[in-house]
Amino acid sequence: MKRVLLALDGMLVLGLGLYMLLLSQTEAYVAFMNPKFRPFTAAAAVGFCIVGAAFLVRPDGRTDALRTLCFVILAVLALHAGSGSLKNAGGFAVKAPPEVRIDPDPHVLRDGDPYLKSNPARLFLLLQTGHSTPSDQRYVTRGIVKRSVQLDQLGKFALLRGNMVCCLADAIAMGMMVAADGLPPLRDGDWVVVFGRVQTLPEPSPITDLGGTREVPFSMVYDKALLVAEAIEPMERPRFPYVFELPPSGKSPPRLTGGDDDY
Amino acid sequence: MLFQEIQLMARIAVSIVLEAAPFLLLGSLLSAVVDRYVDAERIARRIPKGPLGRMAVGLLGGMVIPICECGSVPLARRFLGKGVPPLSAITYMLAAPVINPVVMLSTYVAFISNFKMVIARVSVVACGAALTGWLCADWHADSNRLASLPELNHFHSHGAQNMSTDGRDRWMVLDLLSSGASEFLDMGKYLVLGALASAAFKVFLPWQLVQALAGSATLSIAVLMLLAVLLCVCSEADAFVAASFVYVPPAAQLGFMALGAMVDLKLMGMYFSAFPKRIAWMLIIVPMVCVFGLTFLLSFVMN
Repeated sequence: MKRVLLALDGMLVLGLGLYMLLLSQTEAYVAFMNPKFRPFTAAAAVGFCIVGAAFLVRPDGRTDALRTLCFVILAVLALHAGSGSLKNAGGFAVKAPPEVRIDPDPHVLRDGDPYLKSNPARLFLLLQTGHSTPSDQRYVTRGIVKRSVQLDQLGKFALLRGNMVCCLADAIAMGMMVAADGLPPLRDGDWVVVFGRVQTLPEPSPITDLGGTREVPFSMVYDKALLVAEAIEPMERPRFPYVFELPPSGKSPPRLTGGDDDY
Repeated sequence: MLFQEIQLMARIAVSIVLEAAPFLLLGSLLSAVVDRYVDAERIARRIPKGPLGRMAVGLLGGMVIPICECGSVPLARRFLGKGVPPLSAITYMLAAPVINPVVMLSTYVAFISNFKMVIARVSVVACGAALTGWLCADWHADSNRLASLPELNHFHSHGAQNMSTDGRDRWMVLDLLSSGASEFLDMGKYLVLGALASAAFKVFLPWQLVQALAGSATLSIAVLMLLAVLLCVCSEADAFVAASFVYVPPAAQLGFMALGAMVDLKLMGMYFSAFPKRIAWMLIIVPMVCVFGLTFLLSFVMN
């Protein structure tokens, strides 16, 4: 029994390494971790494989059924998590990471007018960090619609995107309040593209009754400004629902990837 | 609906392990290296004799060996086993995840070049770590430290003794790696359990209630500290999460960042595994009280 447990321990560490190595090479990685950490995860995976193999060859003499059980549970969780928020297991196909793309156009043209691409989390961080947005600047942004009692009373809805710093555990759905006067009402959970301008509010309007979204259980909207929508278009849920934004320095324009996380 | 939530929970738990496991492995391997190569007498000679010196070693150790909270526990445990005074080892364990260049820089970036927030975070963590280390120094004086520590991992008997005299032992590297793996497995079980508990809280917690409570200035510090314990966010990323809590006062954001690096669900399990119960309780309670008291006082001057 002891030898079985030790062998299982070694295989679980080795398996963790192989799982991390596979995940770091696939699209599914972005459903769990910020893609910036791919090389880190891959390097750690190699470390786990080496250490797991060493443990199989020369196991430490002690066993602990609880620790073995915990790592078995982890393996089951990893299988259950599958390819994360991607729609199908195709996310585990080994191919070029989605974040590697050529520099895209920062604008979208609509009726001849240029709209600057910015995802809702980037807008949130831009405003939160005190960067002013010119009143004539038009933005195009994509996100998930979130409604709440407070927002309904204000006649607004929230437009959110899950923003990940390191991993899914620190992700927060961030975004803007949207005023869409005269436009058709939207349902909670709809994915939409909003074209509009940022308008500063005379006084903060904190929204404290937001829940989460399908991808992230916790949400936050910027409370000192809103996005006044000129047009709203429905869209399919993007293949990669998360974005990976840090507070902007203001010294350089935001890096665009041409992917779902641009706007 | 419940299936979706359970799947989200699984994803969050896996992501916590993916993020933290490399640091835990690093700490476990460093621990094995310390066990194998660091001479206890040399350490004893180099550590200052006075309490202030020992405290300073613990506080500044993170600048030399920067490691996040998951990795610092096995390393500190091994330092203790090697004769490093608890005042230094425990202070290091609690301070290193914050008082290191990487985390200080991430705090600076997250709070948009707000150097005051960096100073405040470092100061609060330094006070909490030093006070906890100082209170745990009694443990060192009153008891046989090695006897009261849970058993450390050992190399194979045929390896450890032979290796020390002959570096050519062909099993040396394998034994070192195997010992690191064993320590990782020992600590990793708490990482897995902590990640599961944290993911469950994150998915099933009534966030509307949390947001409503955090809106109150008096409760916000306690609520954000509770969140820090429940969410298990790595010290390298928690500043960005704290900065996103735009509705709460800066003191509450500070409480979140200062406590999360010293106490969270996964760390609690590790503390009880690595230390005697009395010490584990002190590692949990003293930083909580200290962080709450200091952030509450700072709330009068922070805006």
